[in-house]
Amino acid sequence: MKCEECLPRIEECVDGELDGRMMERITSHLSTCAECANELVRLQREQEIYANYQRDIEVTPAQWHIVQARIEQEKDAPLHEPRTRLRERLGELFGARKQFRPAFAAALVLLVVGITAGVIYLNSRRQQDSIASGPSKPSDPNLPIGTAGDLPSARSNAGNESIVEDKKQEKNNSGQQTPAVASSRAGSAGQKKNTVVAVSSPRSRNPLQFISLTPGVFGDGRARTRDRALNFKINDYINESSARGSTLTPLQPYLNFDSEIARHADRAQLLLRSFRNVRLPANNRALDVSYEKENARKLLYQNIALRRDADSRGDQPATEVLNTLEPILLDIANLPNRAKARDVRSIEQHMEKKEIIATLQVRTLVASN
Amino acid sequence: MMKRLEIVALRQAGELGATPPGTLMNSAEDLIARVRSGDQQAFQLIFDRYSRPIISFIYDITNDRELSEELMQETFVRAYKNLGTLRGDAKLSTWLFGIAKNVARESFRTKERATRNVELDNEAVTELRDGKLPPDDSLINKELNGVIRDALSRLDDDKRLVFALKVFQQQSYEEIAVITGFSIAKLKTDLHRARLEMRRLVRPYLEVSL
Repeated sequence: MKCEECLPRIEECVDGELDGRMMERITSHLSTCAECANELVRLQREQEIYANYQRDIEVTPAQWHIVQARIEQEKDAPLHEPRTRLRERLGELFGARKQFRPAFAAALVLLVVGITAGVIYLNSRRQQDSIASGPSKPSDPNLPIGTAGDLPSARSNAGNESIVEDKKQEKNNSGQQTPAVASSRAGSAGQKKNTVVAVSSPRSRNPLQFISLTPGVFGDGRARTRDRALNFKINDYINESSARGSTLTPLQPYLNFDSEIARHADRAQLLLRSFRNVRLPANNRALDVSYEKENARKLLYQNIALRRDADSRGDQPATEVLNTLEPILLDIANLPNRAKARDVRSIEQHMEKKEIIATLQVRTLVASN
Repeated sequence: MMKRLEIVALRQAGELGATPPGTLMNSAEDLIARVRSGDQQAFQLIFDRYSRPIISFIYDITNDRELSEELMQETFVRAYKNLGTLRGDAKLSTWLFGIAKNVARESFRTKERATRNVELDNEAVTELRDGKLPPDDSLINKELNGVIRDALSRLDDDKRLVFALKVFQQQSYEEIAVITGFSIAKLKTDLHRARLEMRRLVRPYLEVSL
């Protein structure tokens, strides 16, 4: 063996990746070549140095507790069935019917088409019912009746709406059971307060566009129907997102409200930490925050849902935390994909002022204990 | 020290071929089966065995202690959730390193590379450049650790990943290929270049420490 052949193999020799035959050839060459032998010694010395490398990091028992707490929260979701097992079962299913394979496949296709058609039909029926069931008459005759044109965004963006109610309105409606009822009462009282409707579309580039509506122009029944329809759309949106693998969870029912809050606080905390740790360029150049923005948008929907639920449950501490978190998430979600450093800094300062990360951390710890 | 503990941990996990016959009670396969049947204590055993190599690996590629702790936790939560998808022929440690690599990569997307670069006024580097080496062994070791860490952070992502998996975690080329998705040829090239670069950065200490 020549040095040109041996030298490139020495690393593999140190890594224990050579087969016996090649190892023998290398060894016999090393016994006669000082240069290659020196290279081997040098690599072995380096290996020894790296083997003694100590990191200033340790695994503490507390970390297992955190993992355990998070797993407890995830436990509601069943473990995935092994893909191999699934594949085997499918294989058995088809394998057992070799002689009838074309007929069986055709039947399967028909079944799938039938189910899809059924689901589409039921969905369209449900939508028609929901439109048809909207009362044409307001229950309070003193109030003006809204026209179809009163809900341009809700109608033109059917399927993708969610409501972020004005905080002032919520304060006025505190103690009421649900936002839907809150809106209805606001409507029945004839108060013209602004409701901010966040029109979101998973396909749209700008997922959050805020449009101001005036709920007071609707009669009680109409307002309730509209709110119910919109809340239904929120649930639909979130359920769809969950199905796509998003971390969002349906609004109702929460299996464990506290753990849901803790989980949400944990995720928000991770996002805000990541956002806070973004190193700002010195000369106010644009910064890519598209990932944080997307995460903030997802968390915002969940935050709205949880805040409403916390409010209806009378859970004041949770409501306060979520109320503090919401504008921050909103700010991040509304940043452009390439945000200016001063905008990012301003949000960071707001986070710092509100001590939101510490608050979320406490909330997570309290809930996990 | 930590390296030795990691190797001991891997041996305990039955993945270095050192498991004596008849002690399959806590083999990786057995633990996986127990976790799948809902035994959380078995998952704690998996955590105990692999958390140290996993956090070391994540720390090697992120160079951020707090972040490494968070990502290690995330790795195990994901592992628990997806344990059902682990194929029978896959090695648990390889699979866990793969998850850890994905988790770390995801977190990288939100961060600028600049945060991982070594500052010019870094004490260890300036002292190294001045040729001032402290006489005390423990100080040398401490400083050497810092120099290795800094040198590691100067490698590009692919080289650092391959270097950490081979040199620190003793994974085979085939396992590294599974974890990273790189071809054997690419990872060999990356590993060779990483070694050369590390040698250049750590050389003064290599000469003094041995």
